[in-house]
Amino acid sequence: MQREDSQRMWNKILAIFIILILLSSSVSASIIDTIWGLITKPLKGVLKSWEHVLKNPKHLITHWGKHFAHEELEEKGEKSRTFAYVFLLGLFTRTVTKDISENINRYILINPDPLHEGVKSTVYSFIHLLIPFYVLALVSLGAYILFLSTSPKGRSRAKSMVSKLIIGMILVTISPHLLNFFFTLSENVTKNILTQGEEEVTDAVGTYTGVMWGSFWMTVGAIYGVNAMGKIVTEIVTRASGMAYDRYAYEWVFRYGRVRSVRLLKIISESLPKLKVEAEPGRTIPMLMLSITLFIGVYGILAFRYLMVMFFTLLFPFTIFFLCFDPTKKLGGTLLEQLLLWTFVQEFYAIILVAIGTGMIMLPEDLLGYGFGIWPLTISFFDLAACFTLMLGPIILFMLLRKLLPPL
Amino acid sequence: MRMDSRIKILIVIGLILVAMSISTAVRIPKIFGESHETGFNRMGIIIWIAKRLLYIWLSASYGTEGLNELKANLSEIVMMNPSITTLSNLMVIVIKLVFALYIPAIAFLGFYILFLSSSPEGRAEAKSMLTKLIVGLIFVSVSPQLMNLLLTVSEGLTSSILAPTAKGVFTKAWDTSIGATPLDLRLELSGLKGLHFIATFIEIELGFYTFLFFMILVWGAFIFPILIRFFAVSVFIVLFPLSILLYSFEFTKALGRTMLEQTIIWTFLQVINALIVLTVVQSIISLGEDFMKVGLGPTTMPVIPLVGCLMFAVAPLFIIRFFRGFLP
Repeated sequence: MQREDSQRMWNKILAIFIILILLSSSVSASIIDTIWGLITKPLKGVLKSWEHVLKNPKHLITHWGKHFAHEELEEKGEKSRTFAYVFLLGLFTRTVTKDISENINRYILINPDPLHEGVKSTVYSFIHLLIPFYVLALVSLGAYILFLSTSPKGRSRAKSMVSKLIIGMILVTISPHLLNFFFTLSENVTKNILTQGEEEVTDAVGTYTGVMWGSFWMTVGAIYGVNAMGKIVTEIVTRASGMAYDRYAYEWVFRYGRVRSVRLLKIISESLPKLKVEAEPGRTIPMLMLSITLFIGVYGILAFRYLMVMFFTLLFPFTIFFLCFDPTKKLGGTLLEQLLLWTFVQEFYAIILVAIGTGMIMLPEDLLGYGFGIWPLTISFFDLAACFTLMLGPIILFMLLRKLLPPL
Repeated sequence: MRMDSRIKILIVIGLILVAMSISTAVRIPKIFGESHETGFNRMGIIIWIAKRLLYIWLSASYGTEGLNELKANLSEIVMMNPSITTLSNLMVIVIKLVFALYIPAIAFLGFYILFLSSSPEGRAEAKSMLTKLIVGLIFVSVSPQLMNLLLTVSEGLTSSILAPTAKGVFTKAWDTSIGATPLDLRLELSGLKGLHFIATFIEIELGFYTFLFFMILVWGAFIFPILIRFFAVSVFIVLFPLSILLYSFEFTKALGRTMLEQTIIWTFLQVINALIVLTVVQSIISLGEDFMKVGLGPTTMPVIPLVGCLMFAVAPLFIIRFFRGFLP
């Protein structure tokens, strides 16, 4: 009770502080002064005479509007803020694209190691957990044979269930090794697909990174305007001696910058004053969403797949038990199917990558140009579609092949 | 814990006040650009910063509160089940209703035997339906005990899965994905909170989107699914006698099967939740912490912990979607 009271009082004090802080703009000067300043400040240039204002009310309004729009952008350090935004987004894009082009094969090929110390001990603890279930299943089967099964058919079925349960027991004890065998098989198949279509995979990854960079440059274009962009690019390109403008410009700045950071700082300091911020970063949220969707679409699915495979790996002893016991056969079937499918997402991913790469190679050159945005800040529709295929393809294949096992 | 948050509040307010007093006394360098006519609006800048700091602190504390609660009571929250004794009053009402429904069901069967089933086979089938109904009647009368048994099994399984789990690894995964800011009295800027901090200073709108993200991560991914499960299990407990009736009556068997299946699935989602904790822990241990960690500096995204945290929300959906039709 007392605690609640003190909590409430604390909340009140806090609320008063917050209100005080928010009102402190008017605390610093008298309120009338502030309001008067707000009205007269933008009118300094216009307020020649009241007649003039009354004659041209439109002029007054536009001037005032201009003033506030200007205030909005000018007073809040938009240059440093937008630069920080673009820099961080560039950093993010660069690390993601670099990571994906270096490690995509590794990410696709990774499977949980069922023979790893921790995983193995967990699986064995689950096997211990299964013992009472086995006892219960055997006792219920025995009771069924003794008291309930009147027909010879029922009895023989019950007996076959006993043998199945015993086979299941043996399989459960070697379940980590079974899984290891299965994962190795799947990994090898995937590796084969990836090595067969190495060129295509590189091409598909290139498409993905291209769209990421396209999104980044569109952000830059939207914030600084295409003209200002042109200035910076010219600056960079003239210094890079013959380096053509494309998505590698940022890459180049980064690499070059690491070697000669003084030079880079000079470029930045020279081009920063030339930057004219034309939009708040809030306007680039669609592009940001695109970047983040692409990021989540690839990394999220790969990580989620890994975790799901790990989940069903840990459940594998239960899967075998459920499969071998007739009343829970359906449940076991679903569990096994899910394990197989989530493991096969690996293959699906490899196939989709190769398919995208082949598709991009086969597409006529002149079709590739179609896209949205203003040249050179465009993202090709085909590239975008390829990226979304990369994200959705494995899921679609997963859904299509859901009834993988024959009905149990 | 209470003390900590008070210190934080005081520090934030103190910082703002100090900044305000400095701003009126000392000239701040013109890092924020300058106004075209009237010179530099120092007060405006301070208010600008103070607003953002307040916004960050207020919004981030929503996530932090939930996170602290979760970290302290992870096992309790996962093991949370509605108590049968509290719900038994409601259950008794439903049982009485179900008993009342048995009368028309048995009468209907009687009519079926008398008038409709002309073949001996049909009659035998109708009689077996009667047996099933009567067995159902027995189960309905012990349904609170049955449900209690189900919940006990689920709780036992959950606790035996959670007991040996290194929960510290899981809470650390949370910590790395949520991260910290200087407002948490730590000299770092990392995870979603760090992103929120930077994004808010770039623009409040961007800050709002990142805020949504970690709000979803803590409240949407953990607390919501678990609470939804809690309420769903409560509903299914109350409806359990009705599900048994529907399942034992031949003509409504399909509906009864769905309801019973849902009861079982929602009850055992607890076990799935415990398994997810275990899965994330094992994945992080076997992969190492640096695997799939993308980005530099404050834009670093620890993908495996993040996705692991989101699994709480997504995996149960998969389970509910795919694990249907297991009852005969």
